[in-house]
Amino acid sequence: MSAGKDVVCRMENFRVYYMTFDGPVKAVDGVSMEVYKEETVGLVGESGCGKSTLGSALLKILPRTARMEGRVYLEGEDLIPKSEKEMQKLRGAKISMIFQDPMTSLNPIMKVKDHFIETIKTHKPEVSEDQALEMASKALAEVGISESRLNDYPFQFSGGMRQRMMIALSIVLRPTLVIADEPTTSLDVIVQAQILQLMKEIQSHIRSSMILITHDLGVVAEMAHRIGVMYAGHLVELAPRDTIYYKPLHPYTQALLESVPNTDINDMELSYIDGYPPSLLNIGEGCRFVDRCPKTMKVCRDRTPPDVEIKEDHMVKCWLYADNVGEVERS
Amino acid sequence: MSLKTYIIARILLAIPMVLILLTVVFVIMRVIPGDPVLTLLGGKAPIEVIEAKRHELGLDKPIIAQYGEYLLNLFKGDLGKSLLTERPIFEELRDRLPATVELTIMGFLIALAIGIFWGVEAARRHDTAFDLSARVYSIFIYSVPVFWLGMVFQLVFGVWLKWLPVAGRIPPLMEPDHITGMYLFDALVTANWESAKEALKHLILPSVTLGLIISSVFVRMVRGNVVLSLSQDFVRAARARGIKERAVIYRHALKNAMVPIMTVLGLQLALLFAGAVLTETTFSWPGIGTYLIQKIRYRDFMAVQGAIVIYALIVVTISIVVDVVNAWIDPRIRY
Amino acid sequence: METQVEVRFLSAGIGRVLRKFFRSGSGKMAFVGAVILIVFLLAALFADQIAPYDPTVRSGRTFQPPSSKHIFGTDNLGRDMFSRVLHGAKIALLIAFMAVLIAAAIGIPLGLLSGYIGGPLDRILTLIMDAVYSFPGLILAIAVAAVLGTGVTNIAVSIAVVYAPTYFRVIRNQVASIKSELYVEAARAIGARNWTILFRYVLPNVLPSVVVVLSMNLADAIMTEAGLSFLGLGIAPPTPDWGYDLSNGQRFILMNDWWMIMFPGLAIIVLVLGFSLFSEGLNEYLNPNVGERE
Repeated sequence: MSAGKDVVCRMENFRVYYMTFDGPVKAVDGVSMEVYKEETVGLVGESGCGKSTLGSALLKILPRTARMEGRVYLEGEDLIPKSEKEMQKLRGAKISMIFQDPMTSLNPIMKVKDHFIETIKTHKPEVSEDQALEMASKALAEVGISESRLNDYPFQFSGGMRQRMMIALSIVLRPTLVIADEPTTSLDVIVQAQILQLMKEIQSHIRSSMILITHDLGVVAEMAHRIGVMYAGHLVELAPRDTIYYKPLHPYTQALLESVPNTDINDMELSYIDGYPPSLLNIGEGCRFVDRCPKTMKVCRDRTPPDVEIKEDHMVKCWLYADNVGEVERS
Repeated sequence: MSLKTYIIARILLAIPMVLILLTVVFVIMRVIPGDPVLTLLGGKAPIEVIEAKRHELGLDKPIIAQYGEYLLNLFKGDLGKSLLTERPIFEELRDRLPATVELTIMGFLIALAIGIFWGVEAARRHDTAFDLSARVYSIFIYSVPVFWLGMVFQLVFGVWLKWLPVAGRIPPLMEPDHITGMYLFDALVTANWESAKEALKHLILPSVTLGLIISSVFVRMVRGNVVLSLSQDFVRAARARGIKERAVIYRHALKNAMVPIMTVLGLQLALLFAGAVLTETTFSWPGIGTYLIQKIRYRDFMAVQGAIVIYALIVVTISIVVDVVNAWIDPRIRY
Repeated sequence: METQVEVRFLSAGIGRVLRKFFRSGSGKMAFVGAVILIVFLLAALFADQIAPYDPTVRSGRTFQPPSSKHIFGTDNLGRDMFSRVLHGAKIALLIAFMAVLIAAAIGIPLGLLSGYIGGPLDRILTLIMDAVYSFPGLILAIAVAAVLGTGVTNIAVSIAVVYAPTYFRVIRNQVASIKSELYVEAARAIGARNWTILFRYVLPNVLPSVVVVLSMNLADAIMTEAGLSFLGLGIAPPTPDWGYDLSNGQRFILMNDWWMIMFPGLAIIVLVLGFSLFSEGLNEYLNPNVGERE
C-alpha cells in the first residue's frame, strides 16, 4: 500500500440503532475498522446494508431516533461522547461529506459564494469576507470551475458541475477525512468518470483520507486502496482492493463478485444471490448471511461470528475462518 | 431577468387581473338581480323619485355604457361623490386608508411573529407535544370569530382590568402631525411621545385581536412547509458542513419554505382584510371597513362601490408585492 | 340466500373501514368533530322542544346574569339567552348548508365543464373564478348582501358567491389531470361518450375532494354568516342569530354584561371547531399526502 500507517479514524464495535416503537433497527452493528492517513477505503454493499448510515453516523447527522454506541476516534478523539456543539465544529472542517445527489444538496436560493462564505466563516470567524472569497475561488479552481461563477445560483449549473461544487465545498477547509456517499450514482457515465478522476486528484493534492460509500464495485475498484464489504449492518470483510477482488474469503463477498456482470461475451449467465437480506428490526445473534449462505453451519445461526484477522489487513467476519471453533461445532 | 424588470413585468401582468376584479365589482353592484336604487330608497319611494335617482346615478343608461363610464371614471381616479356627504369618495377613502393600513400591518406583524416562532419550533420538534400544541392552537384559533375575540379583550382589558381603551384610534386633540396618517408612525417620526403612547395603547387590542386570528393560518403554513424543508437534502448537507443549527433552521430551511408560504399567504391576506372589516367594526376603528359598513347602513351606493373597488386594488397590490418578494427570495422565479 | 351473504359481507367491510378510520389519529379528530356536529344538529332540529322559553319574546327581567332560571342569562329585552343560542343553531346551520349547496351547485358543474372541455372557455372561466377567489371572502359577501338585502336566501346566496370558486378550482384542476389518465383514455378509446366518461369515470374520482371541501366550507360559511349578521347584514331581528346577538351584546359590554357575548360566541367556536375537526380528519384520511403544505 502506498499510504502510510498513521490511523486517522478508528471505529471500535461501532453500533447505530434506529429506535422504533417495535424495537431497535440495528442498521450498523459492531463495526470495527481503521482508516489510514491519505488512503481511500471503499465501503460496498447492497442498499439497506447500513453503509450510508455508517457514513452519516461518523458526522453524527442522523435523525433523532438513532442511537450510537461504541467508539469512534477521529485523530485520537472519541466522537461518541461529543456534544452537538462540539460536533458542529468538526463537521465541514475536520470531517466533511459529499452527498449522492448534487441537484438537491445545495441550497437552491443561495449563491455559490454564500455557500462558501457561510461554511468558512462558521469555522473560521476571524476570516474576512474577502479572504473567504479568495479561499472559495481557490477551491473552485481546484475542481475546475472558474471563479467568475461565484455569483451564480446552483440551478445555473449542470449536475456534474454541481458535484464539483460540492467537492470544492467539502475540501475548502482541508478536512482530514472526507466521506463520499455514492458521489457519482446520480450522474451520467461520462461525468462519473470525470468526477472520480477529480476526486482522486484532489485527495492526493490535499492529502486527506476518504471513505467512499457505494454499491458500485467498479467505482471502488477504480478508487479504493482497501475495500470493506457490508452486509445487513455487519462489516463482513475488509481487505486491500486486490485481495477482495482476487481472493475474497467471505461467502457473501464471493457471491457479490460473481453477480457482477462481466464483459466476457462467452459468459452470458448473470449469477445472483438467492433470497433477501434479513430485516434488521430486533435482529439477534448469529451471522446475518446465514439464510443465503451456501456454507451455513450450526454455529452461524446461534452466535455472531467474530472479526477474524486472517493476516495483516485482511479481516473476515465468518465462522469458517475462526480457529477457536471446534470441529464438532462446525459440522 | 433583473428584479427591476421582473417588477415591471409583474405590474403589467396585473392589468388583466385589475380589469377582471373591477368587472366583478361592477357585475355585483349593477347587474345581478336586485335594484340598488330600490334597496337604497326602500320599497315605498314614489316612482318619480326612483326614476330621478336612477338618472342621477346614470343607471338608466344601457349597461354597456354604464360599464364604460365606470371604467373611465376609475381610470381618472374618480370614484364619484358620496350621496350622503357630497364629498368625493376618493378623498373620503384616502382619509380612511391609513387607519386600515396601520391596523393591518400591525396585525400582520403580530401574526408573522407568532407564526414563525411557533411554526418553526413545532417543525423542529416534529411529532412532539410542542408540535401538537401548535396544531391544536391553529385549529382552535381558526374557529374563533375575530369580533368575539375582540369583545372578550374589550371585556377583560378594558372593562375588568381597565388597562387599555376599547375604541377609537387616539383621544381627540392628541393627533400627531399628519405625515402618513398612520398615527403611531407619525408620532414616532415627529418625536411626539405622548401621542405615540396613546396611539399605541389604542392600537394594541385591535391589532392583537386581528394578529391572533390570522396567526392560525401562519402557524399552520410555517409548520407544514418547514417540516418539508427540513427533510430536504440541502439541510442535511448544511448540517454536514457544520453550519450552526440556528442558521440551518432559519437561513436554509425557513428561507426555502418562505416561497410556498408567501404564495399561499398572498391568497390568505384576503383573510386579513376580511378580518380587518370585523375588527374595525368591533373597535370602532375609523378605517375603510367601518366606512364600508356605515355607507351600507346609510345606503350610500356609490360610496359602497368605491370602498369595494379600493379593496380590489389592495388585493392586486398585495399579490404583486408577494410575487416580487418571492422573486427576491428565490431567484429561480425570475429566470 | 346468496344476497344475504353478500349483504353481510358488505356491512362487515364497511364496519372494518369505519373501525380502521376511527382508530387512526385523524379518525379520532373526525370522530370528535362528528359528535359535535350531531349535538348541534339535534339542538337545531329539536330547538322548539328543548328551549325553555320562546327566544323572541320577553321571558324574565332584563340583563339577568346566568341563574338556574336562565342558565345563559337574559338580554336587554329580557329574552332567554339559552333559548336564543339553541334556536340560533337552526339559522346558522340552515344558512351554512344552503350556501354551501348553492356554491357547489354553481362551482361543480362549471368546474367539470371547464376542466373537461378546456380551451378558451376554460381559460376565461378560470380567470374569472381566480379573480373572485382572490377577493377577500367576507368583503365580497358584504357587497353582495348589501345589494341583495337581508333574508335567509339572500344571505345564503351572498355566502355562496364566495365559495363557488373553491369548488370550481378543486374540480377543474382534478378533472384536467384525470382527463389525461390512462383509464379515461381507455374509456374514450372503446367509444364511451363524453357524458358517460364525465359521470362514470371523472366524477367518482373527484368526489372525495368535494366532500372534504364541502365540510371545510361549512366551517367558513358559519363564520361568514356570523360576520355578516354581526355587521347588521344578516337575518332581520328578532329572529335568533348568533352574530346578531353578539353585536347586540357588544352595546352593553361596558356594563360588564359578559353573558350576552360569551354564549353565542362559544356556540360559534364549538360548531366551527366541529366542522374543522371533521374535515381535517377526513382530509388527512382521504388525501394523506396533501395535508402538510396547505
